[in-house]
Amino acid sequence: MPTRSSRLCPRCLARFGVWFIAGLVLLPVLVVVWRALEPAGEMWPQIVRNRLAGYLWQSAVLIVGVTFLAILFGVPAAWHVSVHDFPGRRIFEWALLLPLAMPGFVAALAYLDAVEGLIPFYVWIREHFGLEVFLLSQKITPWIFATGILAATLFPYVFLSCRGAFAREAAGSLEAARMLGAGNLRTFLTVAAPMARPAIAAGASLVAMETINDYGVVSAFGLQPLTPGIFRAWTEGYPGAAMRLAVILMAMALLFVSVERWQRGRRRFASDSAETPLARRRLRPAGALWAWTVCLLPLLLGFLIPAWRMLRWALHSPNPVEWAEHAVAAGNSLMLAAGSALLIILGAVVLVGSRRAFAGRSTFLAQRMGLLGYAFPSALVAVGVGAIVSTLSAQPGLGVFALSASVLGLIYAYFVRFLAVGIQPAAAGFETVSSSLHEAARTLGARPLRALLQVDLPLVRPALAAGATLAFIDVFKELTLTLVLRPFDFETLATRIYRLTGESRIPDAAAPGLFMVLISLIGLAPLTRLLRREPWPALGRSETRSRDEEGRGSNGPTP
Amino acid sequence: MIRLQVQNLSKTYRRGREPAVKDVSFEIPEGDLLSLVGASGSGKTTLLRLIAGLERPDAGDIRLDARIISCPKGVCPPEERGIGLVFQHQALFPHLTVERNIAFGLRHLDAGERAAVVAPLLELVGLSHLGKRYPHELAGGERQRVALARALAPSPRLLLLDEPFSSLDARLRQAVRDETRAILKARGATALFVTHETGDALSIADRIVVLRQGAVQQDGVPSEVYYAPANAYVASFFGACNFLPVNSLPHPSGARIRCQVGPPALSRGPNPGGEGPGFGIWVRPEDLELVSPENTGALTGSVVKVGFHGAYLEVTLLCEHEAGESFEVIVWHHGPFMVRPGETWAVAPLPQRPRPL
Repeated sequence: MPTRSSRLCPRCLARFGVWFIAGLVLLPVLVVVWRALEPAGEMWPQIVRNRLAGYLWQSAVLIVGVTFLAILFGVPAAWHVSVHDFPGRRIFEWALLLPLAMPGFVAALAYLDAVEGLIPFYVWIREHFGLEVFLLSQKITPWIFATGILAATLFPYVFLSCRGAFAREAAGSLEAARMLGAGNLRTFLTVAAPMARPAIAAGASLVAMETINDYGVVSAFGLQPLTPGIFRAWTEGYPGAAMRLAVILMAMALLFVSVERWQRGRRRFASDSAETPLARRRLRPAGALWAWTVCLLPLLLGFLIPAWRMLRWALHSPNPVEWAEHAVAAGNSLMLAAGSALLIILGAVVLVGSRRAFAGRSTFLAQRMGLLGYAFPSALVAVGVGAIVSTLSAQPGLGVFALSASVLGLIYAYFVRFLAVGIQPAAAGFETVSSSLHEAARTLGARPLRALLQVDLPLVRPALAAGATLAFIDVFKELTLTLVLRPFDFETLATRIYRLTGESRIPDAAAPGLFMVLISLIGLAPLTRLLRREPWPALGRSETRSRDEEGRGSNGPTP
Repeated sequence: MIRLQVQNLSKTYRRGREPAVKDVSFEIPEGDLLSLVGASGSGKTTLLRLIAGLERPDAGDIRLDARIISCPKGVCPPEERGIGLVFQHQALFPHLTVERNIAFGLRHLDAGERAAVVAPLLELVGLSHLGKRYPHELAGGERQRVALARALAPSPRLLLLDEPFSSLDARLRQAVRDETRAILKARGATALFVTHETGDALSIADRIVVLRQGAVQQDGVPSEVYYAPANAYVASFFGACNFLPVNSLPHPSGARIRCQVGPPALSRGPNPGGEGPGFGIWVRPEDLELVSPENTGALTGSVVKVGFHGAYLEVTLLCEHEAGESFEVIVWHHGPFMVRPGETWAVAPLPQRPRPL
């Protein structure tokens, strides 16, 4: 019989670790689904009768509007930046990512007073078109603002995925189309746009995901889609109803996630990556002007205008009394974000590393489940973790830990929600490091853990750092979960900005808002580097693909 | 003494699929260099990974020095087998220097002992001056030698090499493979290497095992596999080969051809003579020459194709069988006269040449 190590079996240990993490991620959702199946109480029929239809159609209008507008902002900008050359193109290439650093609720703050600026316009409408049009226009305005703000801050998802599609995957076909005499517009409409369709769909479904997650923007403009509805039910003391609504929200999220995955899969097969980068076509002045308009407009709306306005407020109305409270809130945010990011990256390493050391169906599944967290809307995770925390602190003897329990609950919720943010770069990093390095270490007598620590981890360190940074930023600017789960009297920067905005103390909220944007900007650095990074000199890469046994389980697409 | 023994080994990756390795048996005596040859998809890499302990077999077992190290019930993990592996793309650790790469498998030794192992190895592979470099600062052939030294450092009982020369260009390749054989023989290592390049296998292996679709086709010394192929697949895998039906030869001068009629060539293997109708013989194109068609007793045919290959012309003739069927014969023509398509020539066996049997 083969000898087996008499020590604690590392494979069993790893399997326990990955399933423990997967269980942590799934637990809140299971709790919500379980509780949603129980009788919901008398409030539920009322909510269904009076509110549900409103929640649903408001969500639907918002999703359609934001997604459409984000495509309108993102696709033409990506097209010009990828295939044309015009003065300022290199700046736009990264500047169009800036809106990612502008959380929606921060941008909302900068636009909120513009609604008041519209009063003369309303008066004019009232005088010229009568009362009904006036009322209608007043009803529509918040929709326009909310949709516009969400689209202007979320369009970079579409921009990013399309830029990749235009620059790399479609480059060969684009050149072929030009050689066959197709003009600019015709190339775009007949070749580029159809080829980029999976990329557009993938980006758009991310936008839709973020839209249904949003709480800050919609509530600032008084809209009532599903997420605020869940909040309302929860804070009014109807957890059962909140959980049923959360299940509906999850169904929507799963729909978008599956669209994204399906389209991404198609993109992988369609990709026939060109070896040489696309030769950019130089635009004439008129074309360049058009390209400028297309690139500058979303950038202005999504970043420059709000940033500029906040900068002015922050400089002109310094309110020293506020600064102490700002600092406390910022301290809380930094602490939470750092702690969660650390846990997240640890979890990601356990999941991805076990997969490297013990390839197998169970570790693969567990990693998949870790990724699922991102498909769970914030409101769902919030009520799920909220229910767990309240059950735990209701236990006799645990009540004294109530406060720490809710901070821990907050960190736990961040972990569930953003574990995927850590897993993705980690998995991508591991993919650039050939698995034969790990195998080489093993055949040289290294046990799995030593092989991971001495060979794999040093090589994926940049990817892990990027993952930790992204998770840090995401937690730092998280609002929805935090509002539900934070302990009484505990404020993060995000909730503070949200509260100040709600109290119409917009100028006071400008400084923390700006601070949040600055911190988020740091997160863009690894993001852009991640897109074009060459980890180590082309050594030992890509051979995982060239093994001659096609029957080997493929690594599977990592989202 | 038998170092490695593989018995009835089978492995299927996915249920319902063709097995990647089916019922494979062979053994390697101590100090021998065995080559596993096969086209891509023939299961040779799977076999290698099974022996290395990176995969678990479905049936059969693997014994190292008579001790079972793999069977369907369990697999001794790779780090406990004492088997070294040289990877196709070397898999050198890019963040470690050459010296630390080689010393990676020597953790049980202290620093002084480690240096005492690494230094002579570096000298053996001729890289003493490059010990402090990083892998990406080395040339392809140097990296290959580092990978070899790294795998040899813990003195493995068996060394596996996975397509060790495939990442090298043609000119470097020959030098590195001769070097590799010299190094392995100098260390007295027992080794198994996998390749799809028949040239590599023929020139450095002591013994060759030919795989096709996961099954062993032939197991023999290089010249045996080359000149006495067990079947049509092996024959054509090692280069162009003519199958001459027995009764196509005008007179029994076939006795002069090394691949003899009937035994022993045709008696080996379950499918003597391959797919051709009736019996025949395998003749390599370099063992034939073109002679004048007036030459009685030779096989005549008309030239259909002439290809220039530098050292020789590859002449394809269409010959006619007694029964009226026609078949192609390829001859590597070194003669001083020119051959053109459409001409009629006769084919005759060359006088036997020396073979390293």
